[in-house]
Amino acid sequence: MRLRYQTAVVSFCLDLTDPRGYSIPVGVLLVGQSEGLGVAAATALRTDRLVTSGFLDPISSEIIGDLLALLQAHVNEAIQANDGNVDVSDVLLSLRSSLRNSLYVSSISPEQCEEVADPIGAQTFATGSVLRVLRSAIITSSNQLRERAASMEEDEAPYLLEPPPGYLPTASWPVPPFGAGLRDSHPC
Amino acid sequence: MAVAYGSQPGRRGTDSPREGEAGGLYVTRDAVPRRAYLKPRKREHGPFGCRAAREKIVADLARDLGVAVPPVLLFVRHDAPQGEETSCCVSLVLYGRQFPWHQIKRWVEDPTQSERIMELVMRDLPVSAARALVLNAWVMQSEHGDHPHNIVFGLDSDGGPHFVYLDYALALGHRFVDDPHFRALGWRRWKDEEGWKAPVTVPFPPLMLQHVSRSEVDATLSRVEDFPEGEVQAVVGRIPGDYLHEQERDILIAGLVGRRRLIRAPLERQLMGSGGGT
Repeated sequence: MRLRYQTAVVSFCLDLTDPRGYSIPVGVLLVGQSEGLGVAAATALRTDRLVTSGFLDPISSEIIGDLLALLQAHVNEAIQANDGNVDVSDVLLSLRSSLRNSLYVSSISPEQCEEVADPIGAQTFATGSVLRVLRSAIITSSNQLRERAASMEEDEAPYLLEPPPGYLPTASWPVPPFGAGLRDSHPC
Repeated sequence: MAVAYGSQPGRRGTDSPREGEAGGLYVTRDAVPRRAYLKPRKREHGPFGCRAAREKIVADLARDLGVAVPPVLLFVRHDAPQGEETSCCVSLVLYGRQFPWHQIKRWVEDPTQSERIMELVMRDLPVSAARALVLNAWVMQSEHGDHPHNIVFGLDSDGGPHFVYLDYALALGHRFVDDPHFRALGWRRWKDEEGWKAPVTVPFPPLMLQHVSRSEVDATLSRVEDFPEGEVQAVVGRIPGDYLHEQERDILIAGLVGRRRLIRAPLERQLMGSGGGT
């Protein structure tokens, strides 16, 4: 079966007032659909290390710590509220609309396709994908911060991120089939 | 004025027109080391919309009353994509870390989750919510029910807590209240047969209502009742004509001046009915 899916990266902006301020990727959501199948998966960064270092305040830490639950609730509500008449992109764009302060959607991937054997295969694929996308986003962010750090004053030097093994709790879950009545126009 | 656009706080660039009802996006300017939020993007036809003017007027009144509404500047968006609004405004982003009410209210609902965070949130809520409630009644703000985004909680650079009240584009008797939901509740456009006299109850998060400071409500009501008519005329009158139709300007002045002494009784009934206030 062919799974159509998209991913959204959720980032945390460290200073919303500062146009030069930077963000760190903190979570990824994947939403996918196939014939009679819906699947979602999410992962979010553990924040305890960032709190210990003084990088995050307690409220920001709690909110990022709840990101996995927030993403799960968003997907389920976005699909149920529309009786399933939504597309993958609708779910992710509504997430972007709902997160527009310190926590925000920094990117949404184009629609992609993957052949999976069955619903379990779809969930396995989704789980692996969110981990892969978040690790990649963290590496990209780290590299950008390192480039910027070189030109900064010492007291401005940002906390450099490193991809933290074991710091990416993940969940995947089946969702009711959705997108009923929508025409599949994707070329893949 | 060179401005860079982006819907997301962490980067500049293009974006999708899927934000709130009026559409908005974050903007920056090289000469100004701060970020702001530009709106509206969606063009509204006819002379009685004037969303940017409403934002500016309410922000200026709020400043005089000590209500936490960000400062607003009018901004002509010369490079707006075809079909989008050019008479816009920019609202300053006030705090480095900001979270919408829907992400914060759980600590008020259930203080046992974290007494430390609850204490931080509650430090500002009673007074700021009291002031905002009164302003909302004065300007007939329809957009602060349990709306998930229009009230945010910010932390300043010292970690100090501040609630911020946003989005007054549809206040002051905008045609938006022609919506059957609001009509059924007695709301009227200010231009319709002096619709500003409607003694409506303004929506406000019930959880906030429970905790507003009654003494601050009273003090803010007094400031509104004593607000100089000349200052209302100055605040509304300085909006340029391409942002605010002349006829609408007269209606807004009449409504704001007339409503100063019409809101106390409905507000007190609202607080009594909600069992709120401390």
